[in-house]
Amino acid sequence: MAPADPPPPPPPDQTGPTQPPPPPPDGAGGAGAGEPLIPADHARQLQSRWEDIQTRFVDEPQTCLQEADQLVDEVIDEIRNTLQARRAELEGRWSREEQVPTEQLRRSLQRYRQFLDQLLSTD
Amino acid sequence: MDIWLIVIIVVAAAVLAAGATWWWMRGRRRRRLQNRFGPEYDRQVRRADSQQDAEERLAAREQRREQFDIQPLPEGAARRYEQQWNQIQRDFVDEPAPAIGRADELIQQVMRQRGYPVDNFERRAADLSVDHPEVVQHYREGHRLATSDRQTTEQLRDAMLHYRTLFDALVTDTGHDDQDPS
Repeated sequence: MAPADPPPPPPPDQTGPTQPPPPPPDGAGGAGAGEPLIPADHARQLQSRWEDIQTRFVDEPQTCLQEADQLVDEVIDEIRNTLQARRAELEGRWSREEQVPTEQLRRSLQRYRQFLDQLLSTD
Repeated sequence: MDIWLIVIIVVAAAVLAAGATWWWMRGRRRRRLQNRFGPEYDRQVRRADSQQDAEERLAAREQRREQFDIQPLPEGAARRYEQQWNQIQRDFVDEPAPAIGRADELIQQVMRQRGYPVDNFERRAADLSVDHPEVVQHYREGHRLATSDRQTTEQLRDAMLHYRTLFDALVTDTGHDDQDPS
């Protein structure tokens, strides 16, 4: 059996004009980069639920702990889903085709870095 | 018959009648005070030198209370106080002891707005006992817990719940001064 042909060279770079390309974070397709992990409306709802729990501690301490744990668990789930969705969106940009232009790969990698920075930030 | 004998008999009868009336009225007052003050009556009798002494004190409280013009809270004020109370309950989670202090202060504010005089704790409890003899026991118990040595958080929580019983009674009380208490 003949050795497999070497993979064809990647298509020529889609070199744009001489000015540098725009930075990756584009609102529509930027995987929500920079957006809060939980939308403001929902966050307010969660705060309101928390306030209710804290108010009732004096009445039923044990129950309030259970509810607090449940609330935090829910929020963790939501955040995890949001993060996974963003990761999946990033993945879709480069893994669907066999021959992805290097320029596209470059921009995708920049988005990954931005995502990683966000995950590692300590604020 | 000797006129003096008649006079003596009449005077003796009058004295006996007065005595019987006095005895009957004291019994009536006793029943009235017991009805009105309930657990507070028992408490005062335990602490006083005599039942008579306790009854004198309680009757004096009633008289003092008559001088006050106690009104219910207007509805807006009641809601505001309730919101403030809820905030104090939330503050309890961060700092229990100061929260108890603020709870007592809020109770005093409500009392003042409703027409009770500003005074020390014992006085406040005594004044409250006239209209709220059951609930004032909660105030006393809450105060005891809040001022005892080496308080646990559980004791403070208990104190808070006792205070709230009084707070709720004061805020929702629609009793007017002109209502007949007996």
